Amino acid sequence: MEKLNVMLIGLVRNELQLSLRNLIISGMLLSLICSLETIAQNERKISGQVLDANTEPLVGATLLEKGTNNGTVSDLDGNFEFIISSENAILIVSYIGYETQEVATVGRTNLAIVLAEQSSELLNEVVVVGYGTQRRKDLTGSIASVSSEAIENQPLASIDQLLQGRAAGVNISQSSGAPGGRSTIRIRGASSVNAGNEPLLVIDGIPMYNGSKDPGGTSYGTSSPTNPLASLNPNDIASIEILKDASSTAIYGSRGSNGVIIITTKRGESGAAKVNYNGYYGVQNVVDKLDLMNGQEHAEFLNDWAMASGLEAPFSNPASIGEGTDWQNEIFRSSAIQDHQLSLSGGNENTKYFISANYFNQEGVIINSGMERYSIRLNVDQKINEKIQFNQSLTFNRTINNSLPISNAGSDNVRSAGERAYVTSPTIPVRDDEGNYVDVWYGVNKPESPVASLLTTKSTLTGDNLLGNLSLDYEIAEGLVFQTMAGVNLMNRSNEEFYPGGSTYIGGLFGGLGMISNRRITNILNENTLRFSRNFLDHHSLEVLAGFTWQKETTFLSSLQPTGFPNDLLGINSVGGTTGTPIVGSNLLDWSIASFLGRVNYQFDDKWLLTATVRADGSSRFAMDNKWGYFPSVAMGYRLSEEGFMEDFVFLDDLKIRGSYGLTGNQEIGNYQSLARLVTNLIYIFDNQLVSGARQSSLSNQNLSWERSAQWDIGLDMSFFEDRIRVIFDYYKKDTRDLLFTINLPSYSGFSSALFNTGMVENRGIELDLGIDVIRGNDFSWNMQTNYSRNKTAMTDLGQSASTNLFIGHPPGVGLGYLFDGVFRDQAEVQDHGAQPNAMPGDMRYVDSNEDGIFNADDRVLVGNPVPDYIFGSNHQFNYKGLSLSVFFQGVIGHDGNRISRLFDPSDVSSNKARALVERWTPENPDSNIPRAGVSNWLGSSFLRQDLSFVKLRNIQLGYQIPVQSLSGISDARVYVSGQNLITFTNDYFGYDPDGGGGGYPTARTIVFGLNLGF
Amino acid sequence: MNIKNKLLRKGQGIAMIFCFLFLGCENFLEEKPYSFLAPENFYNDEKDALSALVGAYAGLGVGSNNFLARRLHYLTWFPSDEAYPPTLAPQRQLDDFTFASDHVDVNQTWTQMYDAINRSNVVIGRVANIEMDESLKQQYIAEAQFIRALCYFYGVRLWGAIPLITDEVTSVEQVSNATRDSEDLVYGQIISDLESAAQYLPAENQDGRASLGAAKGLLAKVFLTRASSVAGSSEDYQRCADLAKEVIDSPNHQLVSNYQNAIGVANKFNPESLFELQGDRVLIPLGMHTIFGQFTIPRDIIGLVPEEGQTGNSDIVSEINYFNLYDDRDYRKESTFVTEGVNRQGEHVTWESFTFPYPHPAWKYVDQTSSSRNGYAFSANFVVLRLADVYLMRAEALNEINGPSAEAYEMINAIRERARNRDGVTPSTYPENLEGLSQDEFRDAVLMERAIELGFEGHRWFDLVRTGRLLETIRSINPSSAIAEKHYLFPIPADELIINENLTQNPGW
Repeated sequence: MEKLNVMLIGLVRNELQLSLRNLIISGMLLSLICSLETIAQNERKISGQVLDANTEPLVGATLLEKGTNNGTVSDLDGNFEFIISSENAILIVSYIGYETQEVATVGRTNLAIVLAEQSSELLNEVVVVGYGTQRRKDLTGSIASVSSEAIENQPLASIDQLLQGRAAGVNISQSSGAPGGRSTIRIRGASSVNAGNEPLLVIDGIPMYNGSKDPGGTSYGTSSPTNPLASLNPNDIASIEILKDASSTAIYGSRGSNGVIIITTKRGESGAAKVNYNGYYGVQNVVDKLDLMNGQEHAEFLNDWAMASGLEAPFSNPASIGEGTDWQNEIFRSSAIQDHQLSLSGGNENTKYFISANYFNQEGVIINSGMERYSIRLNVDQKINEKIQFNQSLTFNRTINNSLPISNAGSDNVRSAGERAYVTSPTIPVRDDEGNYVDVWYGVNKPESPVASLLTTKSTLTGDNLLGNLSLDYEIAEGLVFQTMAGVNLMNRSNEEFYPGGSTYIGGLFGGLGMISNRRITNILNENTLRFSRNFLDHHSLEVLAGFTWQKETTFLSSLQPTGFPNDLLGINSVGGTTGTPIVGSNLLDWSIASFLGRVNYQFDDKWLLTATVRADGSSRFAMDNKWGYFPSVAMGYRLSEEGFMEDFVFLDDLKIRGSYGLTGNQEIGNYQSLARLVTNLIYIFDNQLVSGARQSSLSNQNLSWERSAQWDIGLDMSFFEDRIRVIFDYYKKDTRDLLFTINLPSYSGFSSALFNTGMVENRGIELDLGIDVIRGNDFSWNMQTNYSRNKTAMTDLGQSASTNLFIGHPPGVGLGYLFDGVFRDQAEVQDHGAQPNAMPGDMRYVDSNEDGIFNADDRVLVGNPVPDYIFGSNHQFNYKGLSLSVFFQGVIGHDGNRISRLFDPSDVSSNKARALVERWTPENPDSNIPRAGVSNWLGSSFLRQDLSFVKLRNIQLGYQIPVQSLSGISDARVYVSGQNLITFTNDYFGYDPDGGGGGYPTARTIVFGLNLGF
Repeated sequence: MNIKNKLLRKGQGIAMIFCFLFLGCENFLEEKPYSFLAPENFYNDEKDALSALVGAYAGLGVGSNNFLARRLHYLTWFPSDEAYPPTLAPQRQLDDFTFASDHVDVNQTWTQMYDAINRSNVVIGRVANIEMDESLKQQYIAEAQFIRALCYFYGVRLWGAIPLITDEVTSVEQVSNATRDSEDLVYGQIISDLESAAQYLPAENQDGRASLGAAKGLLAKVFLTRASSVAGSSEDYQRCADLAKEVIDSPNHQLVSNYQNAIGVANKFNPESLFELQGDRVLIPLGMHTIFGQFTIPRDIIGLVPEEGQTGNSDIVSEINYFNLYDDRDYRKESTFVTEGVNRQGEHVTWESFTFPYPHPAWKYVDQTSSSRNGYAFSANFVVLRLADVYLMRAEALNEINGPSAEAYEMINAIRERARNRDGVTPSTYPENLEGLSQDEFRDAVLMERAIELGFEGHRWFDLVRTGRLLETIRSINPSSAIAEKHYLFPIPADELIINENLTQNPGW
């Protein structure tokens, strides 16, 4: 009995760490213990001391009698004494930074308890996998873990931004620097052409995608989509697991092929109640301004342009304009960012809770933009009895985005916030002598004052999100647990926009333009699983999981777009008096998915590991006979380090070879794609009356089915020298076939495209995760965590698609383009070249690629390199006594894109230009390779191409742990300063930020001061 | 292993119970549309028939970006001597003949044309089976036949032989092996559609819907065009002349006295109008409107667009040579071009010092009576066919049959007389009546008259191609132009050839 107890305690000790993550297993084990133990009712006093490994006393360690609220805290010398209620009481001893220990008190009154420091040891680290948890040493799949420590105290709004550069094989790029802006997440490359490429997110067990949940802006494309992930409070996150290979994602079947990100939120631990405050406040500034012409330079450009066009020069004395107006300075600002989080957690053996409230406010670095978030969370775990455990998570958030357009729309009727600044000529002042905003300059097209338009535009997106689940575990028999879970994800998002007629171009067109739209999403989920685990015959260990789940989502959208406002004062808050015919619309959509899933984990002798999973998914999105898809996977691991012959390699702690193969799917297409559709929303005019019309908008495709990815993964997990060096290496190859591919139909059919299952994409690459404890001292330590990955994407088969913009052997995004070959120096060069007889000196020379002596559209060649060669992230953590410093670099190398065309196009007169164009071709500067002002043969060409590679110093954090012995009531206090997006190294990049989606909204450099307090 | 199997079975059993107990899986996964209909449960009554017909009309150019509302005109205005797109880079390739078979406008025009054809096929096929008023049913089908004929007439002129699809397409397989049908066959279909339509279309102008005059006028043009094509027949000119006469003699159609009122902007569905594509942004803020007003108003000139400070786009301007075809004394010149105005700096400027120094053919497409930008710049109907065109067709056909007869002179001079009449208040002596021309001279005179009378109304490219003068006209203006013989037809869109290997490309492309 004694021996069994010790063994169990040992197990429990390990498991307690897990309890955060796997309540099911710990619940099972705890109930096991309870059922084995006989309970005595003898109160008695015990005393002792809590020490660390160096026999230094630990002050303020928590001691709790297991199964009760009975506990105490060690004093300044580490001593404690208290009355325990039973003869066999077990003490749970915990201290921040140390392994929690359970100590049996049977027959003892004075205990010396030595707590071990929490090691960064990989082996016993628990990772969350689909529908369960596993120890890292038992993993057969490829899963990257990011702990809450790695991402804490960084002034970022959402989890996608925090994950940038943190895991191998995960490429996250921001689409703009706007607060609450969206990101693109690609795990092991993009595996689909037309279906979604975003990974599945599983937040507290509820699967979802990060597609835009916005209700939509005006029909002129005024609003930019916001990031639904920004509604999740990052402070509540306990851990993030990124599932990459088929073995780990196949359990998510049809939604696994783009990878899966599992986000687990914090839960209570048994022990005294803990109150934590985390907060920061800081300031943000635009990282980098565009290098543009000043007033004089632009005036000279406009003069040259006018002369080239045979017009009179508009500026008689450009020098008198001098610097002119720097429009970037006029719309950029220093802005505040702050975050405050208060949490309360604790509990006892039966009840554990975590409660938090958060307020986040990020003002934008462009005037009149920003984002606020309010959120609360309540996570409770309750053991009802020996057999039944109840767990619950609930969070409610409201986000308020004051957003600005980040891209142009409607033939530039709406310009991105950034573009408003860079198109506006520096030759004009912000206001004229009478104090009115100036919006007219030579060559202006679609005039508006950047300052006035941004200040007066309203574009507010308010989102409410309730995300919660309830689950019940029932232990049917020893090792056999049934769990049922119900989850809801409810979203209401509303969009209110107003563009005043007096100060915005788009508003001016309509006498004021507004938008009120709403989107209501109801997503419900039910999961039922049965889990059996048992060790038998000494060396065998088996876990079997089977389950059934279903999920259903209904979306209702409605919109109202009024025009013709009586004045600009009330705007969207009072649309009753508008005189334009409003555009109204509504739409109801739903989808559902039902699934069976199963998994077997088998281990022999801690050496041989086998995982097999299967999932059958039925999706509403496919044709009646093709609804069901089957997604199996198998993986094996071999822990070579457990072999006797490896014992000689004493430096080697662990060596595991693993391999997996499996099928996953993708169903991220729009709803109703397999049906023939007839829409009745057409309008025509007969006799000056509106009449409505119908048309068939798509053919039915009864063959539409799953897109399938087959993925190989070979991996190696190693650790050396007492885990000082930890290596995870993976090679993978993912072939996605039956692509959900929008293929061109013969247009003479009356339909131009349809979604088919055809074509193939390949992604392959390597990933390396390297962790090194460079220095492990008592006073000083240096830990390094680096990841590196390469991915190559290529179309391998175009199938039935007759695409003229996809190419075998190249990733999507490579296209046909003209090759720029310098500027014609003089007429003689035009004649020598021959293929462009109409060109003038100073015009652009293009490569006559097919050498037929005529330059035309047939001379386009494949250009573009949209996929980076490699990406990496490297974090360095230094600790010296109470001081800590972390430094994080991130790099994305080897891809290219276009510079902002408008700023480099000297044929265009409506915009300011890049300062580089000062060196353009002129009769006096005939050797320049920048075309002349008013160039006659501008085409989008390789002239615009630029390298997008970058290395960023993403974050530096310097913290100091304040000794708090002397402060009563405070158990923990830390101050820090954290800097985000500090330095970016590029290869002559032109733009705000190579990781910021272009010129729409610049990214910010942020410096914050923060405080963590524990009570 | 046994345990595992047993458990799996047990687990799945429980799961299955859940599935069927609570959901009924097949039902649960059935996709139920809420915001659209399925073709099977439509086309039941007269209302549905009208809906389908409206869909076919809208197929001619809904959304300001499609077919007759934009793309077709890009395709024919720029690669002739008529218009130039200073701001539209992709369209400049049309203008300088460097475009390839994957050009966006080639592709879009083709696609949208066949979309409209399919919608017409739906009406013709489905409405026949609807129980409804028989005469209304015949009229709806006749209107759809008119739309289909108009589309195929554009198609055969732009591409020559093209696949002739006359049934509703319900699956790709139905048409995936289609081949190009000869021009002869395509013309045959067009003629039979228009002749059939003419039996059932009402004679009066239907304010936006096809009428008898529209069908006959279009048919006249079909014969005139076919006469000089590979599918031509010896009677074509005579049939053109006869049909034109029927339209001209009809009491429903007359030339309006003031040229400025002849095009359907302020004066929609005037007695001269035969068929117009509807554009009205006042009635519909989004959807059916045309962009030609906004695109042809100069970017610099304020005070034209009613809203303060607003200007146009200068996206479509006149070629200077084409502008110079107009005599300064010709009323039609000032009725077509915006050549001066006040710029943002308050200076009075002429077209030579506009940001884009070209005459802007905006007066044909703006409604000067409107007090809002939507009405002024976006509500012009696009006139597909008007009576002046029919007069000139008859003049041309008669000249081809017998040389310049008195009746031929009567036709062309009626048009010139109307121009002389100006606004009715201050008549002019120019352009004087024509007389004493040889057959060749008369032929040139008609072509020139068409250029002046019908400029920027979507006829010039077709006229130059029909008369075989595209190449020489372009070369005479720009000797180093990349234009070649192949430009008499547009290329079949590149995608179509890849999808269907049975399709062949036009020569030279």
